[in-house]
Amino acid sequence: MQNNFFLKKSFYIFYVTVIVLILSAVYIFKTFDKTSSDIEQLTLKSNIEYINNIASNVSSLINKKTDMNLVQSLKKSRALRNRLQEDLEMFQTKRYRYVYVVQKIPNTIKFRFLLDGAKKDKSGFLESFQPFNTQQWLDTYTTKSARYFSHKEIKSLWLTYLKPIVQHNKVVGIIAIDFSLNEYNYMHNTLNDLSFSVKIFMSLLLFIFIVVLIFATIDKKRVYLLKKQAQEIQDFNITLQNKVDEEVAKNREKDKQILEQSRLAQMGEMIGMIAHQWRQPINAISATSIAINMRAQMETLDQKSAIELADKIGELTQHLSKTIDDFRNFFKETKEKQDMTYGDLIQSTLDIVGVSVKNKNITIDTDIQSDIVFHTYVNELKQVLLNLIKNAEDVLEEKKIENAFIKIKAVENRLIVRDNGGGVPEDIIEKIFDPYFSTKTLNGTGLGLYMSKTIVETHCGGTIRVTNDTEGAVFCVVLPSNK
Amino acid sequence: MRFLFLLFMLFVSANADVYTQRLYETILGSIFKERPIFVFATGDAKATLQRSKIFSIVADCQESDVAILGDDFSLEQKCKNVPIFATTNRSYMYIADAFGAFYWNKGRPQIHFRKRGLKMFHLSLPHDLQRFIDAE
Repeated sequence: MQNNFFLKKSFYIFYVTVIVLILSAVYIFKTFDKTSSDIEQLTLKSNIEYINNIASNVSSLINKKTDMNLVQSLKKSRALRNRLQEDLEMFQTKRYRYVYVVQKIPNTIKFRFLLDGAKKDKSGFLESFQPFNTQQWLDTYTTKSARYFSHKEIKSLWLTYLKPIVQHNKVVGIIAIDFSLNEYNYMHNTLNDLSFSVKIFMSLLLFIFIVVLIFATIDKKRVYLLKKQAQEIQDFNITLQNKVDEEVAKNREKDKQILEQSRLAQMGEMIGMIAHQWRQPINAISATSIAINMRAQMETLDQKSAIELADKIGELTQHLSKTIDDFRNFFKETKEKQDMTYGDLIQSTLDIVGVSVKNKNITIDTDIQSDIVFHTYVNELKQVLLNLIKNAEDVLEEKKIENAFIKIKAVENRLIVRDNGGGVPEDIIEKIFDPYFSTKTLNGTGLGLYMSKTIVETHCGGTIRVTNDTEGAVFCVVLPSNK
Repeated sequence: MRFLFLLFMLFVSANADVYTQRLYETILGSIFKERPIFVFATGDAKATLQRSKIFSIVADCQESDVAILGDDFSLEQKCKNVPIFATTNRSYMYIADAFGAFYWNKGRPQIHFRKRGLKMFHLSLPHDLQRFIDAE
């Protein structure tokens, strides 16, 4: 969401930057265009001002030297013509290509040369001259004012400046100065080059803008698609999560069923254990009953003996009842966690299974070095320990191990059950906690260790593992201590 | 028509090399009706006219319809019986029988016709060119 915000923000910043750039470029171009025009105007103006001064000086010079009678003076004196032409030559430069004086032929609209400042190919005195823009030349005569006009039609000229020579309040000739196109071309070409560069820059900018815009649009579509895909993945994940939850629930139900199956299987085994537990007290009851019967027949049963024997029977039946209670409690599912130590756990489990094991000549050793109180599901852990003991018992019995033993040790938060049954074969050691996996040929459901693992790891939050030592299997249960 | 001619003149002056040829074609083409026009020419004018399709350059002035001469005044006598068209102001002034001239001065095309020359060879100018006839 935040990324999206930053993405949008960066897009806006980008667009604004590009627009500012474009506007700046347009502004620069417009300013440049105006400046370019101003430069041209300024150059023209300064040129005209300058040439106006020159023309005024030339006019003054001519007036002075011709005694205010231009045509007549020139007609009379070739020397004067040459002198004045030499003066005009001085003003003729690369910038001012032609400097000359013409006169309108009286009563016509034609012109002729009076003086020519050309250094070579000089036009002759009174040689005919056909100017372009004849009207401008005629207007100079009628208005008696200087003027200039630019040329588009004459290849080598930029503009022509015309200054009337006024004598006795009458225009007697025109000083004409043709500006060379070179200077104008130099200035104009430089400005054109600059203008071209600006146009190229603007075009490039526009091109970049368009390209970036296209890419941005494509990227926007890509982002939209990505978002759409992300949404689809999110939806899919939700569906998947629902399916996972469903499957987990199913698995839990299955585990519950397996646990139930396991419990039923254990109950079957318990019947045998109960039989072992009950055999001795039942025999004792039976013997007491026979003793009562015999003493009664022999009439030696006095009141005191009867009470003693009845008490004995009572104690024995109490023992039977306690045994039943123990087994019933053992299989009672505890919904609430309870406090226990490994010592309590081992003792209560051995109360149930101890006699049965010992009857099979298997020694049970306990070593309790832990007094940690665990807050956990006690009965379920009893089933785990019972399972481990019964598995060891079955192996030891099946393999007919001599000096068989089961050692139960509690150290801190670890509960270790080891036997000398030879251990779990290495090729199956990783599978023994799998459901329905059993090595027992008879009465093996394959659920005992699976349920033990489920109880320890899922219900109690601990771990269970199996390794082999030199004598047999070593099961280790680790419970989280309540610190 | 006058306007068109002026336009043409402006156009012509924009590129003197190419359009000097066109100008010759326009001026001489409107005076001499036969095609091709046999021309005796010297100097730059010869090179210019050689590119034109309406002119055919001849080596002998007497065989030409018109002689286009520059400042080589020795040819005047050789071309005495042929209409002469000058290519400089100097030759136009020098050759009194020349019926016309075309040259550039101060970047501007200059066209001149002389009544005497035209009359001598019975040449008539179209209306548009008559304003270039010099006053006597």
